[in-house]
Amino acid sequence: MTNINTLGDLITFTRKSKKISKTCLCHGLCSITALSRYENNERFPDKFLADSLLERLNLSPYKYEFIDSEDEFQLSMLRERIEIHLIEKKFGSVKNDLENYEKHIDKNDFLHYQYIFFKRALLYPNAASKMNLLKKALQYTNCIFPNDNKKLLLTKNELKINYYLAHCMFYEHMEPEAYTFCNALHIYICNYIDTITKIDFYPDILYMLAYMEYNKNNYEKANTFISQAESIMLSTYKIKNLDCILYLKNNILSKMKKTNTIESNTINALKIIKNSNNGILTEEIITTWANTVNLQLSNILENH
Amino acid sequence: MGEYRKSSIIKYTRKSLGLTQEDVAESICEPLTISRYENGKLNPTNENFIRIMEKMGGKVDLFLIPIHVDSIQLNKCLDNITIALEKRNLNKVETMIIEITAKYTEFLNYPNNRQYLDRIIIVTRYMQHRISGTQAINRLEDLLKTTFIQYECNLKYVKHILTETEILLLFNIATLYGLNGKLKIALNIFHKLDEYFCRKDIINNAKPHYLIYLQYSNFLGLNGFYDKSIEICKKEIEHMYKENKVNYLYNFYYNIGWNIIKKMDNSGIDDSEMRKEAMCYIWLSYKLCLLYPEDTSNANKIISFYNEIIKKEYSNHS
Repeated sequence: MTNINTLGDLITFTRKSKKISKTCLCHGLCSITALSRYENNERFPDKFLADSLLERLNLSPYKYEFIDSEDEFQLSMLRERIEIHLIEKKFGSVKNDLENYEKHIDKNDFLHYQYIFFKRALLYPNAASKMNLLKKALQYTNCIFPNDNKKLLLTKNELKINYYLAHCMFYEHMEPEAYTFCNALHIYICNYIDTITKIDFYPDILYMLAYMEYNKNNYEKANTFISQAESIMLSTYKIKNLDCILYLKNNILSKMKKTNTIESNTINALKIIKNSNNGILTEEIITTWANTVNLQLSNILENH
Repeated sequence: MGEYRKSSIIKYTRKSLGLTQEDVAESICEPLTISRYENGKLNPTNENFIRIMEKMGGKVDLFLIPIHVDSIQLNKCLDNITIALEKRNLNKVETMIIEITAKYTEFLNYPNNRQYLDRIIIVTRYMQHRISGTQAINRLEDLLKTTFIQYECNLKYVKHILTETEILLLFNIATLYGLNGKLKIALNIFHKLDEYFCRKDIINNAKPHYLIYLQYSNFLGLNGFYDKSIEICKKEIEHMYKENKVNYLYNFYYNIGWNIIKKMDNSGIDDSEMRKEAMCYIWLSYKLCLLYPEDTSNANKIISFYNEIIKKEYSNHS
């Protein structure tokens, strides 16, 4: 292994070994001249840009140690706080954090603006506003997928933003566009991402594709998509929306006249957990369960 | 992984070398500037940063300290050992340990790596009955003290941030204390780990998290602390659900159901609502165990327990 001691070396080595052009790598992120300077260690990119370049090369920034300036570090920490507030659904805090974030950046810091518009989009329940903000975010690096013209490489954020856009289109019943987007994302992830299980929204993309194929009566294709979604969810021990995936799978299998459908009680179990209080059962749920499953008790005794 | 601030690196390098700000500043800048760099009030330029670090003899691979390529293959080996250990494939574990020790000698130069491997060796020997529980506890505690100097079995507050190996060592030690009649010590360690995980500065997605809570809940339940056991289970279920990572989730559902039933049996209560609640949790546990790639032998244990409860329910009604 050649001596890779700097970010420049790493980018050069990886880019060349993956046969990626400079144009492709730096598209929307920086100029080719700037990239050349980074590769030659003549200049150092900021952390966000460094992460983006590594992500497009399919490298995980987490595997390397960076030395940041104080400002970069603070912004990194702010981004982490925003993610936590989003998970905890503290949308008021997210709004404040984003306003705070904007105060610390320059109008030329387009990667940071992309991030801000992306996160703002997640605060809007209205699909049209959401889509506008997501499209605006992507315009900062000119990375709206699918791109028929050239080979496009995506950073983690760009991939995610494209996914959310596809998701909005799907739920707004914008079928042809949603399908094109989802299919392009699926092909990109399959062909380019090494560890697909790290893309936590991939099962959802497969679900949307399966659903759209099902509606077009392409049951074989739908089954391939939905089975892959199921397999990823189970092997990575995910649970959110697994009930929808299995429910759709059963519908597809019925249409294909196959008998190896998933037991309805399994799907009911997942629905119960979904309707619970973060996994904890309420009195209401237990009563409903007791009333529906009581009939099944003798089945269980007979079968085991 | 890590992001380090230039301010911290300058400060800690300087302090570890016993240098003053004047020493470092000489022929580069004013001492006051060094102070401002260290407080983060002023960002040193890359040129100054390099000059300062070179002066202190520090390495200046400015933005990158890469993990050696070897490590990627090594990490895969280590993951495989952990999986083999979980599946109790002890012969495989032994073979792989010999392989790693022979192949990756540089790896073993680092104390935390030695600790990782030694923990596995001790646990494997215990599981093979080559050493007793007490011997295992002693060796594990000595091993833990190599990096966690303040450890004592009556653990008080954990100040620093624990590595995954240190957490697993505490987990193993607590388990062994519990299994060898020292329940109070075991429960105290688990309790302190629980406090530790509740700290806001801790990243809580480490695997040991659910192993610890499961064992904690097991010990509480088996020793009659039913309500506390249920509380622990509910806490962990909420955590797993929020993280959307549900390995072992079925265990926690089962434990809640089990605890409810045992509580009723022990206090002579015969509450139909409580029984229904227990049955619902156990039923869910059964479904999850079959759905996900979990230990299927546990599915049989779950359904046996469930059927026992049903028989009681039927005998009450007839």
